[in-house]
Amino acid sequence: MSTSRIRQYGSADEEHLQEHLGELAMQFRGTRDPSARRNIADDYSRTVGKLIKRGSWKEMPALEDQLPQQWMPKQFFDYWSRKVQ
Amino acid sequence: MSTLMPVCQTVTVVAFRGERTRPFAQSFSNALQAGKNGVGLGPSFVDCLLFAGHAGLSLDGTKTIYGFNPDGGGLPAWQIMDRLLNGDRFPGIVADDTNVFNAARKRGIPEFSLEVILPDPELQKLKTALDDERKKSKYWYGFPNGDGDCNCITWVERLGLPLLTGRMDEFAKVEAIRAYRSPRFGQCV
Repeated sequence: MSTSRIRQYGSADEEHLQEHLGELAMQFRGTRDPSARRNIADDYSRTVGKLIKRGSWKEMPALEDQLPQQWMPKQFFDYWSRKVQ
Repeated sequence: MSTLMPVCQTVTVVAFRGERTRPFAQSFSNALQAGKNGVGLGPSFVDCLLFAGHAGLSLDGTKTIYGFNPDGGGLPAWQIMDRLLNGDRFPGIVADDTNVFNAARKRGIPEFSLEVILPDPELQKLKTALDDERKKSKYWYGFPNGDGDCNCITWVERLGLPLLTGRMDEFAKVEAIRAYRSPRFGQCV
């Protein structure tokens, strides 16, 4: 498989993960049940972990694709406060 | 049967996708956290819109762009954003947001627009609806799937203009808007 093809698939996967964050944020706003919100936040945290692990996460999710600050995973803020040379 | 075609006018829907690349996202996120932790004022409302993206409509070829926003009643912008992310809603307020779009242009944030061509009776209905909204909006502002009626994109639909989605990313990606910027609704000259 060519490098460009791998890049193409890689980028589609990243887009899919980002889309998933948006879906989770909408699910979160759609429920007030604390345990359902906790499950959604756990899934959100795992998805953020996958995006960080890829090492090519270039754009912060849209505001409406985020959770309230107290529900956001710490690794999200660590990653986005990191200075990149 | 009358063969007369009604005269039409153009309403412009203007939008920009938020600036979310690392340098701006980093400073925005730091400002949000500083506001929350009480060690700073937090981001301004304009900064929130530059990050989130915004949409509005213009009846004079984008000289004046009206947008729909949450009326936070004096709450700091970071708190309004956090409550919207929680699914809460705020009364909507319609403002002249030309300055927001100018700020986005100044930062080089790409703007896109859609010209909606309407026959005069529909345009008059839209003008009346916009005037009423400017006096006092009847809608609640909320993020998608939250408690509000609409956000800045779907508010435009509430005024009667047919759009497609309330998610800024989806809206920005709709290829048809780029490919065909002047769809027509109704019989027009």
